[in-house]
Amino acid sequence: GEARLAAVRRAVLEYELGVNHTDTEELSAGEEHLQRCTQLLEPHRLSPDCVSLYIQAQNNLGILWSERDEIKTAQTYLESAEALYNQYMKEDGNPPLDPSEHFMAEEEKLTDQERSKRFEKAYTHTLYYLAQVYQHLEMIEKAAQYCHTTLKRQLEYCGYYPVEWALNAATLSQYYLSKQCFMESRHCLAAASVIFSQAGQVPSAEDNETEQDQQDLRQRKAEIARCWIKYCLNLLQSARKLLEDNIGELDPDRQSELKAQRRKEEDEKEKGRKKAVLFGTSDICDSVLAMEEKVSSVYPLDFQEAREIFLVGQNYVQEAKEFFQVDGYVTDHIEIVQDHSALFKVLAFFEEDYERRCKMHKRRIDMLEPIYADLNPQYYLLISRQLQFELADTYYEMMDLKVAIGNRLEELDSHTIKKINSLAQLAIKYYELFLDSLRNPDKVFPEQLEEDVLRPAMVAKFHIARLYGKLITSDSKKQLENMQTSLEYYTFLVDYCEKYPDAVRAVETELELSKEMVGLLPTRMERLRAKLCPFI
Amino acid sequence: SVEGDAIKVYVRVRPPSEGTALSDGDQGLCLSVLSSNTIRLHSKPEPKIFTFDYVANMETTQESVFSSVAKNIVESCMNGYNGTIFAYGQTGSGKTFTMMGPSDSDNFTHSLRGVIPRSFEYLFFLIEREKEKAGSGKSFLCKCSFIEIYNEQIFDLLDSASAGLFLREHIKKGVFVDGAVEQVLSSAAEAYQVLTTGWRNRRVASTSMNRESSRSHAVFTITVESMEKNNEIVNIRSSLLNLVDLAGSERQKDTHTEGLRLKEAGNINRSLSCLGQVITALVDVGNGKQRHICYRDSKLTFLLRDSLGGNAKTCIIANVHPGSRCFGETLSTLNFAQRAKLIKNKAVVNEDTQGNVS
Repeated sequence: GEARLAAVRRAVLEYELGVNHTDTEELSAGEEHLQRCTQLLEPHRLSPDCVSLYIQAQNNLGILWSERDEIKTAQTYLESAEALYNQYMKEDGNPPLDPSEHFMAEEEKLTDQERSKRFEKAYTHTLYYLAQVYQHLEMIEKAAQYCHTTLKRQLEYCGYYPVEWALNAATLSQYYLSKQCFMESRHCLAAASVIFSQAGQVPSAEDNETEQDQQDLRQRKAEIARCWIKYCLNLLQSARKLLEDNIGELDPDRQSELKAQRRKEEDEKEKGRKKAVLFGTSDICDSVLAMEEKVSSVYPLDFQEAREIFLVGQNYVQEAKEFFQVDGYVTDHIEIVQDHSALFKVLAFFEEDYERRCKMHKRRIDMLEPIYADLNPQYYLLISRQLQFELADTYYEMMDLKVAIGNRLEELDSHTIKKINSLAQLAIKYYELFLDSLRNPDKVFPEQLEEDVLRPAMVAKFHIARLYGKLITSDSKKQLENMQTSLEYYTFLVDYCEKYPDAVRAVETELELSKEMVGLLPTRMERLRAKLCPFI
Repeated sequence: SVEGDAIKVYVRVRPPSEGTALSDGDQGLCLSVLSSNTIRLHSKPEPKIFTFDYVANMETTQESVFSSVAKNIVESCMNGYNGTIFAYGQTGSGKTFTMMGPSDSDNFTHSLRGVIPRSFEYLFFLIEREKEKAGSGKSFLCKCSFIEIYNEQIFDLLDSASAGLFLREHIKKGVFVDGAVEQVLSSAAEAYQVLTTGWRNRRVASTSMNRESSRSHAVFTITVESMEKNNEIVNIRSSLLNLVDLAGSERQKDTHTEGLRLKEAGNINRSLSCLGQVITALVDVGNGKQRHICYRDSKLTFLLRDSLGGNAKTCIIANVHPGSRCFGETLSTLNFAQRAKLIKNKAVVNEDTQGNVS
């Protein structure tokens, strides 16, 4: 009756006062008004004229408590808003009154469609705040789930800017990547690509898009391409992890086991699909599904399957590079090239033919070496180090392959020997460049290595030691020198770990082998020396 | 060297403005300087002790701030290293006094001149000395630029007619502001002249274009190029000295540094524009997996990327006002300064050869 109407109207006023106070950072006054608002509405909160206001009051109480750094309290308000929405939708579901309507003349009142739109938006905000609450409380999975739902609702209720939405979806895909949820990741990316393509079609408000807007749009497109690259890369790398044996080679038993397992799961695939939250209504959904079909979301198990994913990744590399050119975008450009190199590296794992595998690594060298040569380490020290290490590693890997190829021959021919030696020398060169980059301005190598370079530096030393051991020469004196150098590098590892026992954890295997070599090498050298100068 | 890579953090306590110490009730001060590197904040219930590389109390002279903070950086700049000096703190905490000197006076000759004019003097003193030592074989070229970052847009303070500029990268020269005016300098006085002109432009712009200087960052950059001829070999070395006046730290409320607060959705705007930040934060805590985050660094961190760790010498001067009314801001400035010590660009080297040791 009259009393109820008066109470509800007072609640609207309390709400407006509360928001006004919180907006001007008068938190306690704001809290008082908002509390009074919810108290007045409490008995009627499930009725269509109160539910929206009640939810919005709770949203605002959530914000208010977060400003007091009391996230837990904020959480209770927001979760109860969420529960109220769900209960209302279950029990009633009719478009409820918007708070602004309480003081409107009858003829001004909103349409059902507009009411529903505003109500849904208030609830989307609840979810959006909850996403933040869970993020602050480090409930990461839940936060991601709420971000996902927020995105989904933005799409359903047309409350989004295509570019912004697409970037958010693409970024969310990267979260799923880190959880190895490839199906969800792909879905986000496909939706990002589909929605992004809308952005180009919709004429902007002023219609005369500036050069800058065009540029921005191209950049966003390239950013989404980069997310796709990471998707392909992660899928391949995770598959590699599943398939490799203890020396990093493809394990055929594991391969057939996984293939059998996959056939079994194929039937259940449809079920899994339903569990994921799908974006979009029928129209968009169809486009997203079509987009998804272009790349697999299951682990590739052989070279053919790996190659298909590789090629998709490589296409996105080209697309991303169109915008992120080296002139103007050095860091981004190099990161993309590094990804390209990583794609080749993981593809090589699936390749059985050693010669062809070697050629893939050569492709990596060809893309990395010229960039490294141009790069000024004064401004790009960190990238420069990454490139040095990667180049060294690639040469190292190529040398290992050449040795393996050579071992299959009856006898090493001089061509292969030359090849092995030159690859080893190049690997040594880049490892040394990397180690040199750690020196201080006076060219002195640090007494104690920083944590972030400890393992790479030790691995570099260890690999150099091994490489000197691999160099092939018929000159015994030269051989003795190489063994001596090798010994010095192994000794470095052993001495360093003795001095800084904390380092042991980082290089356990390498240390063990180094100790062994430090024990063995002097005897071997002694023997060689005796052969060299039998009379001494 | 191991400890040389970290960012050095200095705190300077300004004297309370006249009268406040007396009228403010219980002593009026919220902190005390315990030694040349510790400070105690009178927080309740427990006082809090902060340790920094250097703490300048209210009596510390401009000269001594310069020698302990900037001298070293200017020297390493002569040796081919990039250096950056940041001033941080809330509006009114003494940033301008520390960096420039007393306001509205000819700071270049004033006995209370700040870090910037003193750095100019010292830089050109070192250049002259080098030249004398090396004779005709060595020459120097100094250039400077002065830009302002306001609301993620870049303005050229040496060319007030210019529109927004863009950051770009060059494979040899690093990050640069495309199209920014570069002025050649031949003396410290000239450098100071350019700086004050730019500073004036900043004020003009702030009134005419409605931008508040306490909300903008100003970056003054000197490029030092040396060329040495040794018989046939020409050796060119170049380095940057960045002097940065950061926006008043009270504005940090607007950014994510503030902590737990929820970002509100605009009431009219249909976009939930901060959702991206939330998602980015989720991806950030990923477990070292390869991923790409679509949102860029801010313009300032991008411009100074190289200064935040890596092979550059960087120091932050955190200015605080000791008045108890400023307690909140002072605490957040000291917290920021403490966090700054941990900033370091990590050299993430892709190193996954574990299976490959046999």
